[in-house]
Amino acid sequence: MIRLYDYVLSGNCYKIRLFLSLLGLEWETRWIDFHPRRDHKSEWFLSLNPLGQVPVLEDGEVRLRDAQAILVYLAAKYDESAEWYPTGDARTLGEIAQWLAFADGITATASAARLHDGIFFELDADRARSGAHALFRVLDEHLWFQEQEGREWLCGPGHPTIADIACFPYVALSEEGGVSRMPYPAIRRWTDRVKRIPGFIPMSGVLAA
Amino acid sequence: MPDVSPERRWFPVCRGEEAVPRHIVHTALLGQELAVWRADDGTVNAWENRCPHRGVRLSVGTNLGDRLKCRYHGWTYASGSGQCVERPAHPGEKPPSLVRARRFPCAEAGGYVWVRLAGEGEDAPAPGFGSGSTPAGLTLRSIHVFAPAAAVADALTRHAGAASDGSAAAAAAEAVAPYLFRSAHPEAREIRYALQPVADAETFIHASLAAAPAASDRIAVLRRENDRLRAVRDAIEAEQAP
Repeated sequence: MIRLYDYVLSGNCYKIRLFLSLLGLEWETRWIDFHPRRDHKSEWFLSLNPLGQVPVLEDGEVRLRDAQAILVYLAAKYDESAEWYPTGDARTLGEIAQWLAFADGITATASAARLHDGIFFELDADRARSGAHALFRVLDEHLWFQEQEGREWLCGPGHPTIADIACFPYVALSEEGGVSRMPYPAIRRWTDRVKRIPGFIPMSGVLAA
Repeated sequence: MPDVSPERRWFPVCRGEEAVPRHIVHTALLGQELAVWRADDGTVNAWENRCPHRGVRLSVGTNLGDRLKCRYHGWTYASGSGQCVERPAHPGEKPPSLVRARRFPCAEAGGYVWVRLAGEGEDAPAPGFGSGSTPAGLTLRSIHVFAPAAAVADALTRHAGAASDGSAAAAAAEAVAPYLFRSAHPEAREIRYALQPVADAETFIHASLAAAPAASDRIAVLRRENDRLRAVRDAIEAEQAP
């Protein structure tokens, strides 16, 4: 049985729950109290992930940290359609890797601002917000031009990939960090589409379609 | 130009084709938040972004095709009239006729949805670039700027004429009305700009080409003009920096 070490308010944990649900897989959860108990910095958790970050996924002998890495693993191992991570399609794989890295940028900005506003992390929130806006401009422009070419998703021709799942959560949660999505109409249309993928599940702060 | 208060003027709030079915556009005009949505019959609605029941933003609700349902308690409002037609906590009861979403005058012209905040029923010039204008040939990607509309207008008259190859300004944009500009480029491309004053320090630049390019050039032209407008935006925002 797949096991997920999961903090319920984490967007990076949510993206794994969401993807497991989209793939129709079953899993068991070990809940982490990230705030205020800081389970992720405890000795027992650091033995699972020395970086002290959630999520962590275990599947038999496999143990993985890093949400993007976990998405790659789950798609390559369990998606029989090979649409979420098309291992034989070099161009789409390159595009996916580009947006997985972009998702880390969203975590470093939009998610950081949310941690500041929500659970009092000490960081430069204005800088995090302006960084999020800079990335959202790039994302909105990309999605607008994809639409102009008849494409609804970040990568590839006709179906969502793990790139959409990797970028979605902290975009959809951005208002909890004081980053409005009003300036980004193409992003708002895309988040509507993600919410309509069969098997979609919400989380606190991410409303269903 | 008669002296018309900003609230009585028409402003574009989005490209018409971006008010897609079963979606709610979240935008604002002069600080007034709007929920703009298209019904399945094509009608476009521009409503105050606030449920009359408990004040939750209607833009997080659901566009059901002929009515909009609030996310919070499910109060549902009809396209066109804004009349509340359902309150799930009171099944079988007709909602009072006074319960309505607050509507703003709204019209489509030249590829955009236009809204004005006041003056419902009063005579006003039609929205757009005037009755003599041809329809837009190509609406460009609208560009959001963190700057007041007056600063954007000022900068557009200086920057907007720059030729697409980056050479020096060939023609400054000429104002045809407050926040409406035209510019002619060396290649004889007429570009129309219509500014949306979103809030005190936020503006959308809505721009369109008078003439449509060949279908095979469409994406390349959209990208070229987007790059140019993005540079205009960056120049305006740099001027805003303290």
